[in-house]
Amino acid sequence: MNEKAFLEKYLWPSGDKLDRSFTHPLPKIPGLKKAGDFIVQCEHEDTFSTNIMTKYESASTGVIFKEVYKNTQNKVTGTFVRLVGTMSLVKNEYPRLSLDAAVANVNLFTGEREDLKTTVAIHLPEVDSAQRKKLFQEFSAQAKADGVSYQEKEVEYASGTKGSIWVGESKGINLGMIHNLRQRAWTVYKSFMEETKAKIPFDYRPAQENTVFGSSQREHLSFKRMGLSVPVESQAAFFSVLVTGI
Amino acid sequence: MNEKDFLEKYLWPSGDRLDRAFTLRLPDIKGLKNCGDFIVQCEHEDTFSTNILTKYESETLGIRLIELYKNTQNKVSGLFVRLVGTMNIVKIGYPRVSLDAPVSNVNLFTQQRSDITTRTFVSLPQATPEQSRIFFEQLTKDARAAGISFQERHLDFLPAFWGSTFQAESDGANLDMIHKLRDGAWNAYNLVLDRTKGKANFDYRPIQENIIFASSGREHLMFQKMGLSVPVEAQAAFFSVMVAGL
Repeated sequence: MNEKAFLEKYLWPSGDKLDRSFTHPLPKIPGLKKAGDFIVQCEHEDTFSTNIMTKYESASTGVIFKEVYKNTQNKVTGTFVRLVGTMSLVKNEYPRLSLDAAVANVNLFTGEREDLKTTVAIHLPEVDSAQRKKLFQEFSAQAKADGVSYQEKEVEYASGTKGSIWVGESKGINLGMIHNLRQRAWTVYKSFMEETKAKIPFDYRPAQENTVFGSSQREHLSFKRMGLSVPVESQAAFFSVLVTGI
Repeated sequence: MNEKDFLEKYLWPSGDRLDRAFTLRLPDIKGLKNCGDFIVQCEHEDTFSTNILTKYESETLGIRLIELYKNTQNKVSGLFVRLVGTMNIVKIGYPRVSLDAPVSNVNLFTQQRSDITTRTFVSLPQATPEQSRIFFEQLTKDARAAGISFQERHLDFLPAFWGSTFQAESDGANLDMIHKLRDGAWNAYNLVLDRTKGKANFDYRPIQENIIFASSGREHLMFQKMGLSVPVEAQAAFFSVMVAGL
């Protein structure tokens, strides 16, 4: 073995192939600084799933902000689910807010092919239901202003408990809707932090485990129904970047 | 926003930059088929950490093998820890073999810069005493026959169910040693499969949790002491690919 060649050529970083003309400005969180660029990718059968993620931290507010640009696509059928600016906000000792922003040509629930649709879902599973309802009203106000339809849905969380998520929907590719809801997510979270006491210590572990193990398995099966072959490992890796590190 | 551009240009898969001249042939396991190619990568400060992983399954033997080629390197100081053919093998119902194969110019225990050294660690966490005995007897026998010097250790930072760890060390970049120990690990595991019974509903969750949550935190700190900046999220994501699909 040529040691010089090993030292110089073994393995170098991959470049990402994300077209930045489709990315959003960051929410206006003071003092955000980049704390890591990530690629999580899998290719299996005819499907690729590429996740481009960035982590930011704000020393002044204590907030960790992560965002995702993702494409899961069947190269043969053209079926895709794209995340365009999915984000997570968390301050240590406070619950996490997740905003899931999907543009897809397949129904996320039935797995049937359909016209392009943009769906934004807001998750606050660690917030009590009364407070969650109040926070969701802020997103409903934004949706009304943007003229997009919305609802609160009762779902089963990864933990097996039931609760609500907020869902906004729009026909076609509506990146404007995602942009406005991302900005609103920060103002909602900011007032939540100001009005709520920190819970010390806050145990993030149950939600982390539910997401890495439970959600990965569920989404692996959900992708399968859509004709997308995404191994559990790929979703678990993507979720690990989103939820660990706190 | 141009819908046609979004459909055609949004995000495509990254290519990997692994020089296949440094990859090892797979252990001789019948019927192995590629079941997923993965890239997990992070760049932070002056450090990149790129993981190229492949998952294989043998339907005939019920075996899953995941192997990893990884480079964690500080682009300025030149410090690196490279994994060359790290792998794990598991048949559901049996404990999972873990073989870790670092080539580094930094001492993994003292975190000081050192000459290039190749190490290989092999363990069989969650094994019964009988499985452990069969496995390590065969592995050490093969290692002796190949002229590889080794020791068996109990590493304090690992949980009790981890059991002992086989550790071999060689000066320079000794990919041949890794190659031989990969074959040796498979031979020893095959013997465990032949001579012991599998367990229905084998619970892999303790090791999954330990690796994804505890090991990623520990290794993040270890890298930090070496002058390598690898966020917890990057390690958690790579470990998720290794163990989430059990």
